[in-house]
Amino acid sequence: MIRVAAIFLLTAAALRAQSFEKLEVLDAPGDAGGAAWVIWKRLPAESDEEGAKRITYVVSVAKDATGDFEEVARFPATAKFMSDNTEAFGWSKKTADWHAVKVDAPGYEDGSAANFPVYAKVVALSAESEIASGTASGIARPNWLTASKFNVFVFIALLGGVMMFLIARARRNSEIFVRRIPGLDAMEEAIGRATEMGKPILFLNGLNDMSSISTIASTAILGQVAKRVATYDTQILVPCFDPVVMAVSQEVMREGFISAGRPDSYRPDSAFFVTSDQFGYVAAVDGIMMREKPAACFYMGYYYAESLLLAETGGTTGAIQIAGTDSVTQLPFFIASCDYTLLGEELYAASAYLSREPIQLGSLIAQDWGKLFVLAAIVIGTVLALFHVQTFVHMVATY
Amino acid sequence: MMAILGVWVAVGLTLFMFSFLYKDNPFYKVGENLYVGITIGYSLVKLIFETWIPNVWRVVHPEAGVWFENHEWWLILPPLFLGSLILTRFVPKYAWLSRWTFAFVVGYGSGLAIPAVQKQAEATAHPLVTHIESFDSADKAATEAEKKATDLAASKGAGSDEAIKARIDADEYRERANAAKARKDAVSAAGARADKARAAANDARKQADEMAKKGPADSEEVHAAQKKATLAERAAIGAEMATWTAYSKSEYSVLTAWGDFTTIVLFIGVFSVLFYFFFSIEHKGPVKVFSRLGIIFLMIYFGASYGYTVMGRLSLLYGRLVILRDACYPSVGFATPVLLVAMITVLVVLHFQNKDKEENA
Amino acid sequence: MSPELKKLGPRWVVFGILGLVVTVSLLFKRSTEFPGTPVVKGVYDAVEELPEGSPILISSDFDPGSEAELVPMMKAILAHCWRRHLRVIVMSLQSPNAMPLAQGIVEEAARDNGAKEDEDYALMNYKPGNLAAVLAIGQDWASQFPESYKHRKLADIPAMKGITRLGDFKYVLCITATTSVDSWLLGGVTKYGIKLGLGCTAVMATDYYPLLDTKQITGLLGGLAGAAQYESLVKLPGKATDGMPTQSLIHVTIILFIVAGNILHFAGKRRKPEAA
Repeated sequence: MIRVAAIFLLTAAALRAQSFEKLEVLDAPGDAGGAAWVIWKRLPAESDEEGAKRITYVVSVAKDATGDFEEVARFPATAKFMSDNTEAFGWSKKTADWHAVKVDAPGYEDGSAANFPVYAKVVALSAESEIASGTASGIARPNWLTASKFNVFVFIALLGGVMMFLIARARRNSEIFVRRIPGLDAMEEAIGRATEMGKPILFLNGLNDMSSISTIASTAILGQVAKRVATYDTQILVPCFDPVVMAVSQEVMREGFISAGRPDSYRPDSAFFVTSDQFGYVAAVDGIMMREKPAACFYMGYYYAESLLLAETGGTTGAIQIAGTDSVTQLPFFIASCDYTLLGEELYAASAYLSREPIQLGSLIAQDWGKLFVLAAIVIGTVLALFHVQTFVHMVATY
Repeated sequence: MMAILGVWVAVGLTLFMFSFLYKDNPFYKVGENLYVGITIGYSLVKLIFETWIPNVWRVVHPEAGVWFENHEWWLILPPLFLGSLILTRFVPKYAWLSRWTFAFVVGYGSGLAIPAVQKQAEATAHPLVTHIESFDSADKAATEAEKKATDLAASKGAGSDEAIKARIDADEYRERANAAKARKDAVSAAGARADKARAAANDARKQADEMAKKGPADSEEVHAAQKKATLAERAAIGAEMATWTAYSKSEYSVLTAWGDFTTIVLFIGVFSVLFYFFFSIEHKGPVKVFSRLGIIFLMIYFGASYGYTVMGRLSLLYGRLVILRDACYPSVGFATPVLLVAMITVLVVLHFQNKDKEENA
Repeated sequence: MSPELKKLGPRWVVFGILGLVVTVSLLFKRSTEFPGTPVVKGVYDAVEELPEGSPILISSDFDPGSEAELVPMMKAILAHCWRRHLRVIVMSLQSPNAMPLAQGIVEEAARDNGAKEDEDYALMNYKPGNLAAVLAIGQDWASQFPESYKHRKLADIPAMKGITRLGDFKYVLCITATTSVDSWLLGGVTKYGIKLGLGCTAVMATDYYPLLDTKQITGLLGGLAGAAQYESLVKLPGKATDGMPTQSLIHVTIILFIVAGNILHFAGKRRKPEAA
């Protein structure tokens, strides 16, 4: 785009020339090669719409100046302007005065990284006459960068930078403010209740494997729950869907018990593998619920169609139920059947809140900044749109 | 014969799964285990023959097919390497290597996803109030701009930068005026169409009524005429609604206002839900108001989603019951009733056997 | 089950009533017409606007679990495409189980509409890798699908004429029960600028509505209701149209359950303080 813009600025001075002399072939910016733009200024005869309707343009291209020119486009002069292709030519008003046609380089093959010369000719046809241009040439190159995505790059770089900074800050000082999340207070209460009743706590990590953020968040929460469980000397059951998640669960629980100062009361078999079949898992967990009658059920992590089967069975046993998931389609079911539900991002927030782990805290706050940026963009865009100012929208436009 | 057997299997397994509504029982267990076993086996075979063989085996194999014709053979190595890193998950000590693959996939994915999110933000930034330009004012502005362009062209030369700029401006105004004119014309055209459709509908209805009066009121012709009249009336209503839509695009009307209202609701919704998910500020004062509003929007969304889910699940139930209904006929040997009766009998027998056992114990 | 709902009887009573309602309604056949909403019409219009003979890609991303909702949808769309003399190419991103199902649907629909294999339609295969697969066919179709589902070379399939990459398709329709639509969105719409239409299960519909506002999809068919509307638009009442009255009846039943549950809930609440 920068190259095109530069050429455009150079030619802008010569806008006065009113013929095909200013015909140009430019490399199509930001592509894998093989495409070029043929541009030329509108003919004086096009100045009114009636005149433009009478003219038909025919664009033909060839491999070399003397080669066979092949027709690639034929269209009325009322169509195909530079201004229709803002991703290549920007938003300048003057682009409305230029025609632009995208052509494939003759002889180009997919995946080829080479440069291809493009020779182009344009003929303007009308009922009375025809005007032919000279031949213009250019080279269709593969490009390393796509300038029209520059704004996305800026956005990602900014957000990434903010995130790095905030993580570093959280490393130095983990006393970062994170608002209280209602479901978390209830968690404490539920553990207390289980202790009083002498019944176990059931904790599920969801059905995803360890690569999913929700599972990572849920094991972090499990670590904190284990700490409380160790302090109160309550029993906890963690049936697992994935063997790796089981291993991680055992590890975080052991750490939880150690940090509560009761490594001796940790039992590795409290986290156990059930099966990796969705409904088989549900059947097994439902069976455990009916037999053990836990005082509290925690459903953290990612769930699919089994959410209601689990939560409904848990409900019949009279347990306090707290769910936390970022699975949007299952949230309604948890909200309907559980006492408290952590909605979407609250799950990650809860894990950061409880663990005070710098990476989690830092990214949580960075996400707030990201949201603030999007909010600001929407507000500014909306306000400016009210006054028909499009500049800002152009700046954030994506291609 | 095979088709009939297929129907029996389908009906039988459907009934097996439904038997869970009574309670966990041997039929259900058979169905469940069959399901798990078949899907795993089938997916595995399909994966080997349709993914691994064409994408890996045929590429590294000396007699490789199409892929080699236009690619270098070593291009397969990076994806193969990254792919095989996932297998390190089986060795806990080296499981961390699989993160490279995930990092690649996540990085690649977010690079593509972020512009899509940006697009959503871009689309939310609508003007909250629609401004519809009337043809008269647009025409006036266009005429003025054209006059200015002509004057500039006369005074500074048609090729001067000012003149060109003025002409581009004038073109833009004219375009807007043309659009306004098109909108205005669309209203009268739609109106004419609606009038015509209404007249045709009235004619059709009249004709149907007359036919009913004249001949036997219950004949097939009369029914056909009535149906035709109903269709014509429906078309007329459609055309009248189209007139309304065209009108609301040409003048600020109730429909336009409704559109603006939904835009404003959307804006407030996005704004307040985003506020709810701010974790680094305490929800007090105005922030609390907004985040409360956000949670209300979320709950409405969840309600809608819940409703849709119920609808989806019930369509599945409906689909299954249609299969059961279609298998009730002699052509498939009364599959549904036969299997249903047989299953109930077995379940009843099992029930009493278990009861005996419990009592003996 | 909440304790309030429990008062309505054990759960099998609830299931029983629902089952009874569905069964009874199945015995009566009524056909109604469903006016197409603009959301559904967005897909219809996009197909309607295609010039005769243009290729259209259908990504059939569902397995038998979603058959009831998506098969009527796909059949109506196929009939519409062939009526408009479009060349239909069918592939799948979802799972190996999707293509055999798609094959059955397409061949049945082809018999009903007199469409010929390899001329009016071509079946491709299942491609794993979601986004990666979409990006790959965006560059070079043959690299991913060197042959058809029935192992015929692309060059021998008239329906594939002139198709070298994703961009050659005038319209792409994703009929899905999974998140494969995200891949079409990110790979197809964002990167290669294709026009996309979406047919999805009712469960997913709410999630994808915002894409209509941003014009990232031209239209959306959600669940059986969307399918029924499309059937009405193409004037081919089928399974979805038959199913909608049943659907409405169950919805009314469920609404009654919800109302009853709420009344019992609040009645119970008022009684509690008295008991205390």
